Amino acid sequence: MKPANLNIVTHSIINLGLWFWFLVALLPFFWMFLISLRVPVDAFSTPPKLFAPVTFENFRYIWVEDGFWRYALNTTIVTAVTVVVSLTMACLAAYALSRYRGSIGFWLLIAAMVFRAMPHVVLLTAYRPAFFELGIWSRYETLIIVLVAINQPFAIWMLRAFFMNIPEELDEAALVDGCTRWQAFFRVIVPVMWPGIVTAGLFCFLLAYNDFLISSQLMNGDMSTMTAALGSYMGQNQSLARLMHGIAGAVSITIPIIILVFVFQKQIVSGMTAGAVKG
Amino acid sequence: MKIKQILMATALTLAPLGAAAECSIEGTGEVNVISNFFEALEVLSNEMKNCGNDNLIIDTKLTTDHKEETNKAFAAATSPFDAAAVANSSITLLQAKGQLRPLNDLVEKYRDEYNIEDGMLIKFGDEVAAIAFMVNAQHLFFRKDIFEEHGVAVPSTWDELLDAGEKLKAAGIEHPYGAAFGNSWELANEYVNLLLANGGTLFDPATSDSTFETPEAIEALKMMGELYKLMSPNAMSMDFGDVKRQLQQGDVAMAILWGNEASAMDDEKESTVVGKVGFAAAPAMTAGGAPASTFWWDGYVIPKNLDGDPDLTFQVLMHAMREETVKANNDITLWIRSAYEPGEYTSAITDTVVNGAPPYPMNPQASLAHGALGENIADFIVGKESAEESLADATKAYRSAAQEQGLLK
Amino acid sequence: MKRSTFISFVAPSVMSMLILIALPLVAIVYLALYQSYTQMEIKEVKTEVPLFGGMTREVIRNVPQPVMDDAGNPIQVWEYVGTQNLKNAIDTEGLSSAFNADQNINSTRSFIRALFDEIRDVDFWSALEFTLIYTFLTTPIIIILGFGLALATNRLTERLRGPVVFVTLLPMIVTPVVSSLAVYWLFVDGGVIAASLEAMGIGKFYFLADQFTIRAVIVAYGVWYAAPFAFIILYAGLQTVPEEPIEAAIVDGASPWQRVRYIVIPHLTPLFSVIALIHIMDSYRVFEPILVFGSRVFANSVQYLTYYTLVFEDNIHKASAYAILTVLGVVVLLIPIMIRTFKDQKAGK
Repeated sequence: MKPANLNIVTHSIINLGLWFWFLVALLPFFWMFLISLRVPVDAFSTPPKLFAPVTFENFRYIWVEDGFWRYALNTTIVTAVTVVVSLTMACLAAYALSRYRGSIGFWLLIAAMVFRAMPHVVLLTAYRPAFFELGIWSRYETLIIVLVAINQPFAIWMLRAFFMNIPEELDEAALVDGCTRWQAFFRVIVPVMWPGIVTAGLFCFLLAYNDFLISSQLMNGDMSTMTAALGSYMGQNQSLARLMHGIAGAVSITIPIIILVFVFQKQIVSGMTAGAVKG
Repeated sequence: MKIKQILMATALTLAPLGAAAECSIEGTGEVNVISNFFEALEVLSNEMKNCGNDNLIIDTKLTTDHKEETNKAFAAATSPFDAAAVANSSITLLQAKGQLRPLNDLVEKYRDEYNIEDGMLIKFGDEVAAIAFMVNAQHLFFRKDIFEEHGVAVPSTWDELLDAGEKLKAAGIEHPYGAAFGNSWELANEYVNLLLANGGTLFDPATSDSTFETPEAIEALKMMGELYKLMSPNAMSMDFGDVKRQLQQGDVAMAILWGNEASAMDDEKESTVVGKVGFAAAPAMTAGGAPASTFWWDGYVIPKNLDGDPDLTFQVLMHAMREETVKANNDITLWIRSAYEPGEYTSAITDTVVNGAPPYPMNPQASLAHGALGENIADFIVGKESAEESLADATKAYRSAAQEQGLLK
Repeated sequence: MKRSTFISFVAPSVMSMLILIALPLVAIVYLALYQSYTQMEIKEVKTEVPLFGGMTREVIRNVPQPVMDDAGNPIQVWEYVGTQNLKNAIDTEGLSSAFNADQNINSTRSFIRALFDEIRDVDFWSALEFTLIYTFLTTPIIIILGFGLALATNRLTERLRGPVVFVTLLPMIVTPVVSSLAVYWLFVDGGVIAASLEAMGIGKFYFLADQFTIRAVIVAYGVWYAAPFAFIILYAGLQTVPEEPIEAAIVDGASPWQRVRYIVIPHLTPLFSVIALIHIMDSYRVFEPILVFGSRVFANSVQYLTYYTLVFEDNIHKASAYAILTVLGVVVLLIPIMIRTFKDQKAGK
């Protein structure tokens, strides 16, 4: 839609509003970055200070002395495997759902929708006693398989929307050429699906990376992911130094996300609008 | 798992080695210790880590989630932690569920080697359940300069504190008083201090039923309502860290805080009021009565379900708690060992305890009562319910919690 | 596609969902029917508490101690209690006494008062209350704000749109625990927002003072967090508005506002409902701001209540009861979406 020509006053008001939003969206992150580089007395001074001496001590402490790198390593392992496994399983299912005409397909999608809406704490309530009893908590495999399952419902819905856009003639041609369904899927469909797979992968990544509720409860001690480890800096706490370490941790978690948004902005937008906006 | 170990080894070699304290514990295995995060525990974990070598891997985790992690670990088939730091309240349920390894044999074996003093042993009957290293109590922190300027005397009762607060308020100090009313645990903690000092009780030990709705309780609760008027309106969401910051930033003129935070008032990295804060025993509810505070010990326990070697774990713990550690870090807290020399930062704790502050009740019922009160008394303090109503709500919450734990039929 | 091929393609994904999502739903029903604890008996125990300087204080008192079985292990009780946990969670007793309150002239007023007391005092009802307030307050605001932002961004030159989209994405993409903390630190006592407002002479504000202000801050966070979502979808939707009717409207002399009102909004209506439905589903799960703002007494959510019961009270049975109630809520919220999907299906997709 082409923008309308407005008079100068309305135009300025609109621009002002946009600038205001810009400020509101950025202020919390800006302030967090700013105070993460300070000693406690400046970070939480009354009244707040805009300028104060800069120190990297908080970051040095958590990364060098507190072993934050371990949590970063855990996050890397967990998110990488989760993304790969989730995508593999969801692609197969979503492809089949986009091509199958029977009614089970429909019911499966409905079930997936209900599962997607399920608050994670409901699942956690059952996992806790079960994983305890089985002695499999605080292991990479456990967290990964749980995150993969939680990823499935929405990954299926999103990928299905992408697969729907690939004309069926493409697989039919492959089938006519003598391929099996599996061969058709891997040789013909997957190569044209890469943009969709990257997009869905981003969202699987975000879910695994951003998860606090499940990760903080299933992983313990040195097995924590970065996000889950934040809990051990906050909570009931009278140590301001510890709080500052937590702020440095929070900033460390945010930086990769900002880079991600910067690089993959287009894919994120297309993932969010997949299915919702047609045409 | 290989990569992790290699990376860990590199990090260990890169990490600056502290004072190379000689630790001569011999053995092979892994010792994992979990604890809260504050300065004394930081010192102790660094001491423990000094015992690590090629055969003995020592890992300490300091986290504010320690209570939940310890509960989970000790209830599991095997605990990933071989020892945990606990205090009066957190030991009770672990002990009552039979999850703690009695330490009598180890104490006997190593009594001479580490000079284990009787005062450090936490006993339930004859059983040694924990080894304590420090004592703590909440007491009054006040701004010496402001009190002097406005001619306010250090209050010894809560009524005097209210008067002092009014005077300071009239002199233009908007929020003279600070205390942790925020987190429901901390709110109940302030209340329990006042309640016990006022002669009230939490529950009847014979039946485990609550005794929340008494005249003493209502008086104590009303005192909290009066105190709230001297505090920042945001107080209902402030924890100890926030109150400490208020005092350090000069926002309030007096506060109730934990004794081990006293030295932080003179830390230039955190505080703008270096040298201006004085310490006194917690005020009493009645003139000449016991200070409204409870005293706490902090110590270590070993679970029954540990996956490491209890003997080795015990040695590591005792090495960290040895006399040299106390001597080298004398001022950071009130150590239990007799080698400790009282200093300016801990005299208010000793005053509070010597004047009769009781130990925080070491019963599981107390923890449940604490939780139930914390959830419900806020309604009175912000003026949404009468004191009687909110205490009745707390009774109801306590009873259902106690029934769920099998403590009350 | 043949049915057998279909099944082999969906099998891994379906299995994972069955075991890790469907099975847990069954498990919570089972757990909610039981109660478990370590059997204890009250014993007189002498405890010694250390003081300092070698002193100890000895206390004799009644303390619950575990009852041991023959092998010397504590006895664990696992007891069937039927619907007791669920009844406690919704407080059937309190509810029925509220409904049976005195039947005099003021009965309606006293009934409403009793009901409000009940909502305030019973954890589950107060958690549900705020969850619903949060959900139904944020939904219209994010749609209006998102639409306004989309229209404004649409006026920008191509070069400026990228940065606006980038910045707008941040609140919703950054780890919610972190973004909640980042917002929280602005609102603490004497924090940036309060200090700025005071410096501008607008007045003194205490954002964490009582129920109303804390809830307002959490709702504001919810808007800040979710408005980008509405924005992105509506902005993409704006790109699909056909040009002809707009040009025709310009020829007819319609004002810019009339063009938005009569052409753009009707065109985007399906998107508004998609946003509302997805946002309602997500808000019902609100968790992180409640966790971070740490004011459970003033603002709680059903998901946080269950989490707290599970993690801090360490009571899986009570947590399961809350979880069941939470699931029932999800089902109620999903009914309109399901009806819609059914209609789409019937319409012959």
